[in-house]
Amino acid sequence: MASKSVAYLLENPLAESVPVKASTSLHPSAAVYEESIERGLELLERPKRGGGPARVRVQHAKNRMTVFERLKVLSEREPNLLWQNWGKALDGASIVTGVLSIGDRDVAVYGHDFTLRAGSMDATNGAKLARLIYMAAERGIPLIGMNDSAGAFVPAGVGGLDGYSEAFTALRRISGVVPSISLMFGYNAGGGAYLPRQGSFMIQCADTFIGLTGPGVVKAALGEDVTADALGGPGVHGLNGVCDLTTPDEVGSLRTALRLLSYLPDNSKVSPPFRPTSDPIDRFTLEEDILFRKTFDSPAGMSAPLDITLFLQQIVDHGEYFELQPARARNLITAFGRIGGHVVGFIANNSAVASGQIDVDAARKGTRFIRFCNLYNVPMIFLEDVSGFTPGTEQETRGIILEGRRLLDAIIDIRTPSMTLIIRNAFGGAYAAYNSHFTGADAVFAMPMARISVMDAGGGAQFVFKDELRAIEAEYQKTAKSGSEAEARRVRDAGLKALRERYERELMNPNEALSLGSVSRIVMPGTSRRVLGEHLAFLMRTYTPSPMSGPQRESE
Amino acid sequence: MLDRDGVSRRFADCESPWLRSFSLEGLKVLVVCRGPVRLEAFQVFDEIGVREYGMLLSEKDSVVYPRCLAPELRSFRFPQNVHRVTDYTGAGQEQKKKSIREIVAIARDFGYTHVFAGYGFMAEDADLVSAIERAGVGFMGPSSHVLRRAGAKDEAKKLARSLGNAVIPGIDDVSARALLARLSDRKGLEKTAREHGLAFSFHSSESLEANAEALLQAGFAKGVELVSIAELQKQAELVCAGIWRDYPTHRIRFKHIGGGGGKGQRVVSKPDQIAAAVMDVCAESKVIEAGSNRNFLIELNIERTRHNEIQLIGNGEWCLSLGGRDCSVQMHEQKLVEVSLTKELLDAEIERATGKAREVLIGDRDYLARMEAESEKFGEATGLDSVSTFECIVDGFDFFFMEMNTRIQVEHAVTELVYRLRFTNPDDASEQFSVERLIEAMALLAAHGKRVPKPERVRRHLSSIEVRVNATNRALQPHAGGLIRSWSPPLAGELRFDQGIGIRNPDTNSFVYYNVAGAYDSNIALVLTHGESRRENYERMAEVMRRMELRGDDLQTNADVHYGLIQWLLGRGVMAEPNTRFMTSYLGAVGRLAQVAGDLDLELAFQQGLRATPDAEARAALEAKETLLLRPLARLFANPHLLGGFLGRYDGELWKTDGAKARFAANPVQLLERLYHFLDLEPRADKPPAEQIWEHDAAILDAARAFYATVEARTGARDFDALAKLFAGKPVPALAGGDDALWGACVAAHKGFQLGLELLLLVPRVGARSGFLDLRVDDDLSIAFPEPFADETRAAELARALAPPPPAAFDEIVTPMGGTFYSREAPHLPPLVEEGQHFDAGQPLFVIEVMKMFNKVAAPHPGTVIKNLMAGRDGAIVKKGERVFSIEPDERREVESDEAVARRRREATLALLA
Repeated sequence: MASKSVAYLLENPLAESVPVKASTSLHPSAAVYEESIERGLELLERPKRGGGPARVRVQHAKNRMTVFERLKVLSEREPNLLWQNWGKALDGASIVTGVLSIGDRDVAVYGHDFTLRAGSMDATNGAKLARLIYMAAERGIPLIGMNDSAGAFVPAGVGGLDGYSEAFTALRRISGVVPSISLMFGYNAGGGAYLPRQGSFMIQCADTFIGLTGPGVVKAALGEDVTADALGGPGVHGLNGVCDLTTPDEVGSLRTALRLLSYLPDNSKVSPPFRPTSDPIDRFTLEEDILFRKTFDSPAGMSAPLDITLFLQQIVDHGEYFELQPARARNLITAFGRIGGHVVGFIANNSAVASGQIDVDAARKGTRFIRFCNLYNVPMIFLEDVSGFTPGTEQETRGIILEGRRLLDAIIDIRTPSMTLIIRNAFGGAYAAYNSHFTGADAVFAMPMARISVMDAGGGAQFVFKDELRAIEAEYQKTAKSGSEAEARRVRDAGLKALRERYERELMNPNEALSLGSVSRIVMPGTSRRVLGEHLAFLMRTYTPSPMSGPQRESE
Repeated sequence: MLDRDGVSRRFADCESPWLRSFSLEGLKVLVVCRGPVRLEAFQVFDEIGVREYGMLLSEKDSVVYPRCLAPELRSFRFPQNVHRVTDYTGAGQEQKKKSIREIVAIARDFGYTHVFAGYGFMAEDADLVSAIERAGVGFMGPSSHVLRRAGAKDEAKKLARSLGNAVIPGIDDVSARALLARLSDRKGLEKTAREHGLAFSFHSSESLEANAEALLQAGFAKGVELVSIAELQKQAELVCAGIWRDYPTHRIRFKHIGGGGGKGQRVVSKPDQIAAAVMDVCAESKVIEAGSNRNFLIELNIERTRHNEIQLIGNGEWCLSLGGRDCSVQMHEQKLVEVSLTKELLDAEIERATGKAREVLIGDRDYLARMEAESEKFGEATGLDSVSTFECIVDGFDFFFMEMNTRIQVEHAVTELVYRLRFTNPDDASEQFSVERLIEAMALLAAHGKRVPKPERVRRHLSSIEVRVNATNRALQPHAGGLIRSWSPPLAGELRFDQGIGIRNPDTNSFVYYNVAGAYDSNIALVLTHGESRRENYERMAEVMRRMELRGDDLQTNADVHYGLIQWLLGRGVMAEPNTRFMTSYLGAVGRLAQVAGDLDLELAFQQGLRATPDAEARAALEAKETLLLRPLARLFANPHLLGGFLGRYDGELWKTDGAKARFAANPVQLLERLYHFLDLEPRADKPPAEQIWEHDAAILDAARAFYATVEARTGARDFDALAKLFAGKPVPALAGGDDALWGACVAAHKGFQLGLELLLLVPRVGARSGFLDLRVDDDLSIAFPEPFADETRAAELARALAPPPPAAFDEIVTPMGGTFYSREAPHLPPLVEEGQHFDAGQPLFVIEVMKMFNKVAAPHPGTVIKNLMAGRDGAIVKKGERVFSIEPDERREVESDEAVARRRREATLALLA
């Protein structure tokens, strides 16, 4: 042990083992060779040290893992690190890049090393990141990014900004080629926020920040006093859609990323991982029937709200589904699940939230999810129970026409197998837009209680029964004049009610749609899994996964 | 079953005709319960080879909550045998009848030979069991005639009395007795009725007391005074005198029949207190007014109640007791922990014990033997033909029969771990088999009844314990709605009944997220361990709970409560005998701990330490230890249950306290090591780095451990003082030879390793300041709680610090917990408050239903409802902290400013450091 004269030692001076020498060759060799061996070892070690013990401790004091520790949560196997000594300082330039074996898949990973210059982007590491991103696309493997970066390295000047541009560009170029998951750790401002959002999915955990600028700048520029968490914590971004998923801690984020990955294909040329299922595809799911009876046998009757995830869990393999953006716009549920082993993207109207009507937020949520599924060969199932787009000043002001239109565009652009099951309501424009036969659905099914109609009973009756209405009005005037006003009103109201009921009976059903071939068949409650599963199997047998091609459309 | 050689086999596969005659292959069993026992039953049925089984799937199992599908379905072998029902039990009588009809129809139509009801509500329902029997289907459990004899409480008590079993001495008819004291007979009653014009006719088929009771009721109905308070006082004195003849040292409790929550109750210890106590009971119950129903119970006051029960098994001809279980650790009348109590265990522990404890254990062994003997007699008298539990309350070495539960209990596995059943062929003693699962024994009895010979009980393990993992917060209040995202698999030696939540998706092998909706109750799982002594048993349980990782969103369980408690018991005395009030006081003490720990600012304490360093080198060395020290301390102080467990476990061993002062009793490096271990932060390959000691911290701790191990090996110096002396003295050749530099390094290492460790003394100081360290197990094994924890009301108040209400602005009322929201107590009643209405502090404002418990939420302060933000949302599922009303408070309260909080914490921290 060294006999330095120190007053405080944090090592064991009585330890017997001596550090193992790198070269244990029996042959004496030239000093210069020994030195090169030592230097080589030092070079291998240098990036792993990061910013040194003090910086690592600071990272840990914030309850954050280092990038190397995060990698261990993703896979128990050692990562294959690439371009380890990148940068003038030969320290890897504060970003770690490599290929990781996760299960039976190769995944490209990068992670900022916050202990080294706060994980900032400088003149050269943008290029390093871009190189990894392009490699992922070239090899056709998904990308996981572990972001923990304070932004551009100011001393690097314009070089840092260029670095960002290079990385931005790379990530946009591979969009639609390989899927990516961005994990947000630590404090990410400016470019550190924009870059990861170019990926497919973003996951943020508690005690982190994402924002254009931090609270300090906000205070200076606007005088607004706000905490980092209230400005850009997961509570904010889980609700505004910037983040797709939020978790309580780093481990939660990393594990959630693995779960999400299990539904994603490696690239746009292949299908997502198929897992043969032990859950019979033809099981009769009486629960569906019970669910509907329970729902409709309530004072609200056919207008009773229905939590669509209760239906969803009946039809997917072993009841398992994975919801995206679960904290926002739950009037439209977007989720992955499997039917018969095939990954399916579900887009489901949820009348339990805001009547399930499609508003700006729901439209954005749905659009993004559909476009993802479409690019990556994920078949889609629409569960339809919607009375329309949300009307009103607020929605118009926010541009519901634009956002609703984008949702419709995304649906029209679908080229992967897609089906729609109309469960209850399918009214007007929403019916037409929502993956109907003529927007390109491969199959549209309807349950017997489906109400496919131009409008609901109140409005519909006004148009359809003009003569009858006129007769009722005339009768009312006559009786009112001849005596009892109250009696006249009673008769009139009963007549109107009867008309509404007649409208519901005669026109709010699947019959016309069936006759026109807009709906392929009736699906009885209890058989949805079988009908959807068997048709999906047929569609998948006859579908060849491939990258999207064809002309670029104007929107998005 | 196990054959003679202990090999697991099925009867049908045996060569011996006697063994083969017990085949269970003909059975087709319909399981009509849920909870952990459902999957357990399936597993036992698979093991013993019943032909087929089926299950009921209720709406709450399938379509009421998302992500809450019955997890058993993922591996269910007979999908065609899943039968749908609305619910297992109905809300009212009509519903129940309908449920029974449904179950019977399913059992008959699908050819089931037997119905198994586990420990569900239906298991003890004589109507269900009779209906099943009438339908010609077997009931796997006690027959209806057993239920009728033993299931009804008054009947059971009568039977117990007739058998000479002890029941709590006392009476419930003091008013009738007082009336008869004056009127004495039929004539007197009829005359009084006429005088007052009361509708009363004497029924000679009923007892005189019953007729007196009827007359009293007629009097109450018309507000006619028949018995005066003076008469009641006199009668009470007579009754008490009778009780004191048999129990001269006990106190006696008076309890008004309409009483509740401790109101209308008095406890007397001397005859001259009786008159005043009767008056108080009447006054407090507001029955002073003439003609009010003033009847109250008079019974022996059980001071230190423990809850014991005996497991029984029988076939109608023989009945065998399988030892006891102590279930005293309870909260809100719900059992939390159950430990085995057997003669064999007590024999072994008596050997180990000394002094007073030994005497107590000998007394325990004695009463256990009596309790077992009485239970067997009772079982035989009822014709018990399956399994049941004989429940008693225990006071010192006296026990009193409470009731018999005619079903398998939640905690049955506690017994399975300590005894197995060995059956011997009466005609050929060489033929034997053993059964280790009570459900298997139930199947055997259901199928072969009288043919099953009386078994012997054979010791398996000496001790076993079960803890119930429930969805509750740290104050043990129900908390529904959490989502389990992962659960570490059971350790070796851990028995976990988790309803199948741990069954992974068979296709992808992923853990299936599970929503703890709490449809039926708050229980998530049962966890058991065993051991060859109570201590070894508890050590294993502590290890299981230490390593259990249950992660999720908004998920709260009592796992940390269990972990802390078991560690506390390991430190204070594993043979401790908590009573049924223990948990209330314990939670109060932990609550107080939470308050004191909450005022601690660790960052500030560390800065103080840095400031005190003599030079830059010391400062740098201390800075290098920042996370090593602060991380485990922060985790410990953030979780009062863990803190309490650590304090209980290591008080006296790692430190000693004297009033508010604390000093190390061992090398503090050892304390730090134990702390890392206690918090499950030691390095382990299967854990994420964020849940282990950081590498740089491990390097220091490992070096320190190795250093002190060498020092001890070479010099014998081990504890804090000896080490201090050693390194303050002259060079020690055994360590450094003659190498001065090495000696210097050793001294520096000691200084370096010890640097800053005085921060660890905050742990005992917080313990001492909160009074938590005063909780001890006395020599007589009882647990002494100092004030204020002994007082139930104050303890409950302190426990609230464990689950502080969600942050709410002063001008709104938010939900204090997640659950189902109701604005009114019942559908036909008006809302508890309405817009514009004024309310007082403590007035109920709305109801949150969590796991069948309807929690009335009281106003924290007086105010007026401005707006009802939950209008029209009755029955909605709400989360904790959702806004219900915006209000105008009567008084604007001063909210403690951030600066004031900081100042308070600063002062508290500096005081603890002083």
